[in-house]
Amino acid sequence: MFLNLSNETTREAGGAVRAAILTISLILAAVLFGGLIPQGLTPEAYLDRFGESPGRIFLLLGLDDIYRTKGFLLLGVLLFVQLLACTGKRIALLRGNSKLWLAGSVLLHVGLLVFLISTAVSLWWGKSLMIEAPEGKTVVLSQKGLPFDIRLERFLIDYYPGSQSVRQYRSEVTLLQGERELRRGSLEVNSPLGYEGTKIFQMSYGWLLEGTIRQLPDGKVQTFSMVNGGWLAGGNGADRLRGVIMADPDKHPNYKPEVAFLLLSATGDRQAAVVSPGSSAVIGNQEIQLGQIRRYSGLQLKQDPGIAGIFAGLSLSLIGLMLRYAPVGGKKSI
Amino acid sequence: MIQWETILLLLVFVVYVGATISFSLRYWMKSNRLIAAGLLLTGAAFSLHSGLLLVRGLAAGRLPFSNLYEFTLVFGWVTLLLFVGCAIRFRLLATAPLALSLVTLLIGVAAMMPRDIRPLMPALRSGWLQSHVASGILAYGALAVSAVLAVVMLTRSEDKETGLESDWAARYWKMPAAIELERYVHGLIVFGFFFLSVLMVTGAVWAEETWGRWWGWDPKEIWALITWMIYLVYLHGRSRFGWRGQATAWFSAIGFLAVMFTLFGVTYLLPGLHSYK
Repeated sequence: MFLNLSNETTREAGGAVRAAILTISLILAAVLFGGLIPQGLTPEAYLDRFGESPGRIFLLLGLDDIYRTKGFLLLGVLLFVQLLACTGKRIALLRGNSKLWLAGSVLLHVGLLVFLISTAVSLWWGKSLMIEAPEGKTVVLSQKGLPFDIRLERFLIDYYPGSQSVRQYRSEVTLLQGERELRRGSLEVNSPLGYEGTKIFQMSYGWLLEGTIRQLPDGKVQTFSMVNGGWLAGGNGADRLRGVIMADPDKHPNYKPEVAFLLLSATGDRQAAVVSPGSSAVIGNQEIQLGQIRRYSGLQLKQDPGIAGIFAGLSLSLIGLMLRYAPVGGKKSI
Repeated sequence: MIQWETILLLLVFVVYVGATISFSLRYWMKSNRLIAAGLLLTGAAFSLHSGLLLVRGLAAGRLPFSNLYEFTLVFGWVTLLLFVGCAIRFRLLATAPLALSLVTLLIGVAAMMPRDIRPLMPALRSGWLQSHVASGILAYGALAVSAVLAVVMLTRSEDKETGLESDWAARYWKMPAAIELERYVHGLIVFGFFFLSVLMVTGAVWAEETWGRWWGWDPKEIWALITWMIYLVYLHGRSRFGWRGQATAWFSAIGFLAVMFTLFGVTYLLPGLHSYK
């Protein structure tokens, strides 16, 4: 027999625990599925991998993003309900049997309940936003439901002595409400800046290419601001324009900064031109005027009312786990 | 310094191989000198292994915790330390060939990895690094020893105690009964599971501080969760449904395979945020 039931074990295993173990096994199977089949790829990648019909069924079932399917969330809800029942049973046992390990078991399960509730709060009410804040400019966030706008005053990179390896990078910012200054502060990797329930995280940095595109021959002008290496919809909407700095000014400060623009037209034509800041070039039927290459700081702004509960729940569970298996407190069976 | 490290690494590997062979031969040749030689070689290998970690730490100017090569070396070191503790406390010397084979394998795998010392990237410059990695090493070490004992358990056909001789070596060179082994496996899994949980919680806190998300379904996170859940099912099965015997040994062995896949398989086959090779 694969599972040997011990003769010494005469206790009745509760139905709620059995059901919870079944749910955990189903969650384990789903997590394993996501661990073996890469998630979040493009639909084409799955069609390529599994073939046309199986691939479509795969996508229809949402198996390309299994952790966000309703079925997976339902398993989470089911686990919560079963955990609630198991915890209730343990609390009832604790009333007539005040053993340390039993208290630990209760604490462990209460902690997991707090964790699950807080995770739901986080998923439901939490929100985050990624921005590329240009140095010296203000990014208006109040229209996006955040309590402030943000201005990047300065961005600093610290290198290891004698090398080009980045040791740390930091943004000095001012939080504003209209013209009023709310707070000045700095943030770096591993050290976010908090303000009234919103946390700002240092995520990345790079260069923004700013300038104008003039349609030829009618002269219609549009301004652009694109991330170095990024893509921009071209003048007629179907074209795509990419701009790449030839030599990264961080690594090659002595080189004249130049940008290579590549135009991919809807017909498949490819054209390129190299432009310096302050100059222009004609590429296809558009004239690109490169204004400035400006530093940006990649920031994430996050409001998460569930995060404190998540870590409180996890901490309670760890303490409970320690007490549950602490080598004191007599025979440990429920 | 790097040259010293290479020489030490080779020596550690060779001496561990010697210790493994010496203990293994004891199964065929009933000489206690083989046990004494095995113990001597294990002591020598462990000292050299400690020296290797010291040399690496001095060369890097930090604890050797920051890439897969360093983690594998420390993982092997802690596995041996925990095994020696268990072998002395529970008289499990007869399981030494398997435990030493695993440690030797880890050293061999580490020797094939890049050993260059690179400066820490900003995300790794955090106080959470030490607690996160240390808990991982303790968890993996305990789960490795539990898997060794579980495999021994699976190969035991009957519970006869051997080693009836009265001399010192024979007292330690006896194979415990399967029921005893099962208890040790359980104890080690409890220890490992606790630190596996600490590993995941410290990782979540650190990820929240660094990337503003405590969980991101990164391949390493997914496989750590799979490992954690396998042991979670084991612990509930054992305490609530009285699972004993071979079933628990299989859980331990499968759980450890998940540990190894999380450590090596994910790093090389499913790269993500944790791919610090």
